[in-house]
Amino acid sequence: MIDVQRLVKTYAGRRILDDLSFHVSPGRVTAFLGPNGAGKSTTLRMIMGLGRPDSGTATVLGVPYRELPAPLRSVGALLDASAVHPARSPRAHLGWLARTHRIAPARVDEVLELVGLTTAARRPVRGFSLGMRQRLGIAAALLGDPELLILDEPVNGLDPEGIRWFRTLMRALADEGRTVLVSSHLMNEMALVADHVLVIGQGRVLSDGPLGDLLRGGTPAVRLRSGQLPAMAVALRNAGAELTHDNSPNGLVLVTGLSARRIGDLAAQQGCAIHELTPVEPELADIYLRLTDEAAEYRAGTPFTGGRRSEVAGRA
Amino acid sequence: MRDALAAEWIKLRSLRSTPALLLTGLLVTVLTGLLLCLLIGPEFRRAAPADRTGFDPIGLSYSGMQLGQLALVVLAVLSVGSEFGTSMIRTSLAAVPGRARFLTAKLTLLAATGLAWGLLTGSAALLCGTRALGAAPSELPLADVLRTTLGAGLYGALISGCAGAVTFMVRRSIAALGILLPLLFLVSSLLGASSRLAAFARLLPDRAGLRLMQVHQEPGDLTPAGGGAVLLLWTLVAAFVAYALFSRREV
Repeated sequence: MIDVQRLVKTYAGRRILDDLSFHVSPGRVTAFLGPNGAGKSTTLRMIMGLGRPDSGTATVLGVPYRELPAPLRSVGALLDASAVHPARSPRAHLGWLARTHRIAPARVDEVLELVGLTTAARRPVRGFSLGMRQRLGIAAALLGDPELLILDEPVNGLDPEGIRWFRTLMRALADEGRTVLVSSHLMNEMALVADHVLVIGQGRVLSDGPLGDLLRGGTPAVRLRSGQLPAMAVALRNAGAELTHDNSPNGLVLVTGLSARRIGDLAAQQGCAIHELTPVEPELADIYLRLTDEAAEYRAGTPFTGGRRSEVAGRA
Repeated sequence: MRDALAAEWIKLRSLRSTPALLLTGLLVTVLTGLLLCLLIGPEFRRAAPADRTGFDPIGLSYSGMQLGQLALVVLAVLSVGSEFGTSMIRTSLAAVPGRARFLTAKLTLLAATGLAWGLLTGSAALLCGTRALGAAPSELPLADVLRTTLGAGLYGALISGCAGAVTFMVRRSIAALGILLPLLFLVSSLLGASSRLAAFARLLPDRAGLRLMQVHQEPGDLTPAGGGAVLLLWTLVAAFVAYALFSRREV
């Protein structure tokens, strides 16, 4: 469990955290989302007792982090995968961590095996790819078999196999009743793994609820491809639909406000040939972008495409 | 505390640079002392027995310490500086959230490393130096030999702890070396050269601390115990300031 109450933090006159409150419950994976500069990392550092809030409190398992008797056995955190001495091997890195809590050396081998670093265990971290560092960071977080996991951008740099492995791992940990808080910018990935979504922007909670609720709040759309698009467009607009060009070639539009069935009927009435008619479920990425639109701190100056959807598609 | 200390020990010994630096420091100290003793040897051996005490054969043997200590200082600085430089400090504090405990463990381990290094290096330097000089056993009273060898250990412990504490204050290896190297290398020699500032120079950490390894005493010099106490005071003040800053700062 994580409990954040009315956190306020100001850096150089800028309010990074603005009366931020939320609660993270056990037994599920909570995605912690927000644009760059929204205050995610600052929040995580406050939770870990590494930063000092101007006011408010952050507790883990009911107490401030610093008061945990054996922190690594309660909380496993991956805050920054590159925060390892480059000349140290994974085994030595996990070795000193384990020693602080008298964790048996066998457990070090166990987590190395779990994250797939056994063969690289004695090599200096210097030569590791980001993905391997992430694996080491995840191993460090799991070392004390903690009830609570806090993972900041753990999927960055993982290969597809690693991403799938990580997804399964998150699921398993949450199903065992642990609390899992994962921050990421990879919306598609979060939509697959999260049960609960917490979105912050400009230091405030923008949305906090189950993934399903959030997705239901989004607008379903229908992808339509037709050779007689102009004629269709008129009929659809008359029926109250909104059309978005998807920047794709040959007569593809995204229709909102009408069901696929209604669109099909309209096409039949108009005598228009339809080449594709696909209902599109609202995507987390779209909902997220809408939520954070006003709150985004560092956005590209001029959007180079018309529709947001295509920006997201390009990124995914 | 024991666990934190043991963890720091694993950190230190898991870096290949640690033995390399310690060995370099030892060799530099011994060889510099040896060279000086070989150069002074003929003059020392020619001198009348009454004048020989002015040479301080024991103190001369340790004269490489001033140079060799730099490797120890670099080790201490890197040990603390790399925590901040790589953000590993966050992982360290996640595992050992008590700032006082973490800082104490780190500095204690550095002091212990410095102690072991000082004892070993001091003994080797004394052995090589006095033989090169050709000092007679009567010129090497056991009490002085023991006192200066222990003094070398104590000096290593305190200077290493002091360097670690300074790095905790400035948080960057480069900044810490920028303060410590000129202080240990230039300032004390420069101040020492000027007679008006000599009194002040005697109170600098290295000048005061090196008295621990000297026997001969000139008028105005601190006593070995006094010198050791001054260095201890420097180190304690540095550790205290380091804690005051570190306990307040965000990482």
